[in-house]
Amino acid sequence: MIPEVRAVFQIAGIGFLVAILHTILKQSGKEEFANWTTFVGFVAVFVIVIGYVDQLYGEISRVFLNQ
Amino acid sequence: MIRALGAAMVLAATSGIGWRIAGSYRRRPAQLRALAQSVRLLKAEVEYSVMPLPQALKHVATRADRAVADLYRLAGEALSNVDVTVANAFRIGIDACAPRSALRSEDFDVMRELGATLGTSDSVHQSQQIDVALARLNSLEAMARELQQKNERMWQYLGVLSGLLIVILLY
Repeated sequence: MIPEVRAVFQIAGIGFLVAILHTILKQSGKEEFANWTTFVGFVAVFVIVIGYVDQLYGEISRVFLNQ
Repeated sequence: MIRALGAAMVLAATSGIGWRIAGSYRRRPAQLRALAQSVRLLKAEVEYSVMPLPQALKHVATRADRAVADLYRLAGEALSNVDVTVANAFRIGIDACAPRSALRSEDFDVMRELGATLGTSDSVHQSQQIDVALARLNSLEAMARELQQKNERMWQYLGVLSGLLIVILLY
């Protein structure tokens, strides 16, 4: 599998699991933990995405700016 | 191959941790009930068969539930020494029993206070103290059931799902 497709599935999986965790924690009355889990999931996905955006900008500057 | 094996191990480990924490919530009400039952046995020994406390404790230990029998057995053995007070004997039994049981320190506090009052007055006063301890154990059991309903399922899911999350993040 090419790495970009893996990243898409990875992010989808994280979103799915964090959503389930949020509901379970909220159901058992631990709302602040639920919010923290969502936040941590968001940060994890953000870190992954930032890596790819960094790659993208590197590619753009390589193609268009460094001639 | 090795990656899948590692993923399975991480998942098994976190599921096991979740299962263990859920298990402590699951076992606590039953153990509190066993403790209350054993205190009732002790009350019968104190009221009807008027046995000396070391024998009474050993007698309760043979009939009580396995989860709390050690407490009485060790307390009875400690009390057979001359220079040990009842409170200290109970403390010895509780300290030996505590690490392996699902009961919390507030549950053992009831037994500690009961141990501090046993053997210090006549049997009427003692059975009153035992009744107070029984009432406290019952209310603790009700609270433990509430906690179980809230937390047992949650910790099971939490273990499995956090394992899946780690696997997905690292895969």
